[in-house]
Amino acid sequence: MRDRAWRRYKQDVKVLQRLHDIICTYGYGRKDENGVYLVNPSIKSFIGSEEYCRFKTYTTDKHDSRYKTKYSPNKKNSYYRDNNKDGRRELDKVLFLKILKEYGIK
Amino acid sequence: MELSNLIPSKSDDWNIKKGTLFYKKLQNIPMAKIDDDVVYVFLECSIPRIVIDLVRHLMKIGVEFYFLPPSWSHPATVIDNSVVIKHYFTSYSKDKFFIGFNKIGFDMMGNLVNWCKKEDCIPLIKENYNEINKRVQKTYYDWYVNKEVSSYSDDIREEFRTLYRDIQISMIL
Repeated sequence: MRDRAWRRYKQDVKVLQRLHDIICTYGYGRKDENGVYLVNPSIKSFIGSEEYCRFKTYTTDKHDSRYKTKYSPNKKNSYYRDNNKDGRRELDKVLFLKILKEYGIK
Repeated sequence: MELSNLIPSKSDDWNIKKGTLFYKKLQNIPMAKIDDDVVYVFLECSIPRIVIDLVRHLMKIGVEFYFLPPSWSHPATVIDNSVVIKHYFTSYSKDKFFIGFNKIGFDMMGNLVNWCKKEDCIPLIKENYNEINKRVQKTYYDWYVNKEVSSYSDDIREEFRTLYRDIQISMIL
């Protein structure tokens, strides 16, 4: 069920992942929200900070997620898609339909 | 007195482990502990709304409580009363605590004086107050708007100007 609790959980996972990524950039330490200087900042020291609030948003300007080619059968605009690549959902579906037709199920 | 009585809401985020009350926000953050029938609340600046809710609840049930810096939740921390007093002042100078505590009618400086009387460290108040007040009253000239600006709001700066007088009155009372 993709309810509010699920969305909160997914948001926390994303925020944790983003915080993990930036922790290594604080090589010279960092002041936490309580004004204590930490040489090795942990995730706890980022809670309530500007970074934490920024990372809570789902929006992104990164190329891999913003310009990602997203498949949808209802999409009007056509675009180039390499169907030879493995792991494509729609390609699997085409193959599956072929097999069904061979056996006369569909 | 039990820690479970201190939980202000029915939320699942509150939990108790090893004699400490925690609030879960990404990770478990220590919020309160009981020592000799006195509640010590960790004044965590990263989650002010939760701390204010907890203080409101403690005022409602009428228990004796004092604040401690969150770093004191770690057993290896060196105990220094000056750090606690400084943390009282720095937290009070933050917008969210200043507005929140005034809204619920909590006298934070009275609480500080009571803690200092208990720990017998009243002379430390003056030096820590001077240090934080100097930081709060500091202004710098902004050439874009051609006037003096401060990183603290006017209400907080006004309050801090006469704060030591209020502390002295609390000492007498």
